[in-house]
Amino acid sequence: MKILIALSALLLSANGFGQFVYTDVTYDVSVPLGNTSDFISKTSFRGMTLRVGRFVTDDLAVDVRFSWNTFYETKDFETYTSEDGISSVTGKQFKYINSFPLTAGVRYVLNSSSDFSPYFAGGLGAYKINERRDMGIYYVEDMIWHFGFYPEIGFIYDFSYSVGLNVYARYDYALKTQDATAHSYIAFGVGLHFGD
Amino acid sequence: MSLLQSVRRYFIYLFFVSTPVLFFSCYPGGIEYYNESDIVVTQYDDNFNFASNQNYFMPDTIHHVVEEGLEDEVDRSYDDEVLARIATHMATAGYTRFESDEIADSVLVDSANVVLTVVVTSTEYSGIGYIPGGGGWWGWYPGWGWGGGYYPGYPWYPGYGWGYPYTYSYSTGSMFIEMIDEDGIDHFEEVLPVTWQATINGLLSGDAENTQWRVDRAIDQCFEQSQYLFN
Repeated sequence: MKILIALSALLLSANGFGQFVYTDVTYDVSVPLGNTSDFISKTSFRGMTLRVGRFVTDDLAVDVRFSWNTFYETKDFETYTSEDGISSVTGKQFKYINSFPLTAGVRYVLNSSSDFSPYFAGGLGAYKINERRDMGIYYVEDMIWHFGFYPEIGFIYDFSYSVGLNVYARYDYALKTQDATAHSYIAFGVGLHFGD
Repeated sequence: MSLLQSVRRYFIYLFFVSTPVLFFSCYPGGIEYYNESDIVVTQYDDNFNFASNQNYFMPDTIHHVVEEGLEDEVDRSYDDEVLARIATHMATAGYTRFESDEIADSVLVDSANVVLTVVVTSTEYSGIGYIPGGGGWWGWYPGWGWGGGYYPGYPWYPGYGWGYPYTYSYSTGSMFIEMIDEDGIDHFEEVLPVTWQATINGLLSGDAENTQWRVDRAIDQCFEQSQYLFN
């Protein structure tokens, strides 16, 4: 987070809020996929993305992005038995995944001079993923840093002076590590875009 | 910088600060009611032949483990119901209970194949590798000496896979039901071979109105997930 703030400050201070700098603040709805879906199958309605970027050409921008996507699911009072069949535990499970991507990326904008600007984007970086399950007073939590990447498509619709609507679909993929499986989900975002 | 640009800058800063705060305020909750915290854990010795050891002795008292200098925080109003319910399940599983008002308990224990003890913690415990107050009930046993509630022969959570195989944390009011192989008791090494064990965490804590329902559900669940007892 400190890195994001530092990079954001750097980007913002480069040209003030001139025409080459933009910021996006969006709300995310995320659909879990793969291993993420195996752990929590429910769609997440708790998510956000903060992004600061700067155009290096008329059509191409670089940016840094921080997101927070929370997945949550409860299970009924169920029994789980160890593989050898010797131990069994019954209880109500509460499951959480908190994903914190911190990435750097590029954005290629079509029709950058018009009010409606579709774009393609992609990037890579670190994904901190906290996977937790609670049962009674017990909990098990893995907090693992992953390397990950994202492709994204979306558009900006400028509806006022330097303020626009940002809508996108982003596929976040955090690669597996030695201690954790891969995670993936599609985030659908809507929010505000500040900048020309 | 124009006024409009200044307003816009502060507006963006406000967004950056307020969005995470708003988001955090929507963070999903967890346990809301006592019954959502109930956990029933069972395990058994898969080398023990339950089918051929179906005579059992169970004391008519639940041992409450109370730390020295503290008072018993768990009331005994559920004790009779707990013992009766366990006895009912044992009978259903085909076990015969040895009980008598005239014969000494020690004689009944010697005659039985297994001994079933019920222990309740009156204090919150956490640590590694043993059950608090273990063996406390066995104070009647002639010549028995316990070293701080240690179960040397206890098969602790083998292959559990939940991330806490060698640690424990029991709330006040946690209940332990333990089946001990009478023939395997080692008086010299002070080993109690536990062949089946059920832990119900925090069952008797709090004063929730539905405690009786929770007690019944938990004890039923102990046997429901221990079908190997029904041989």
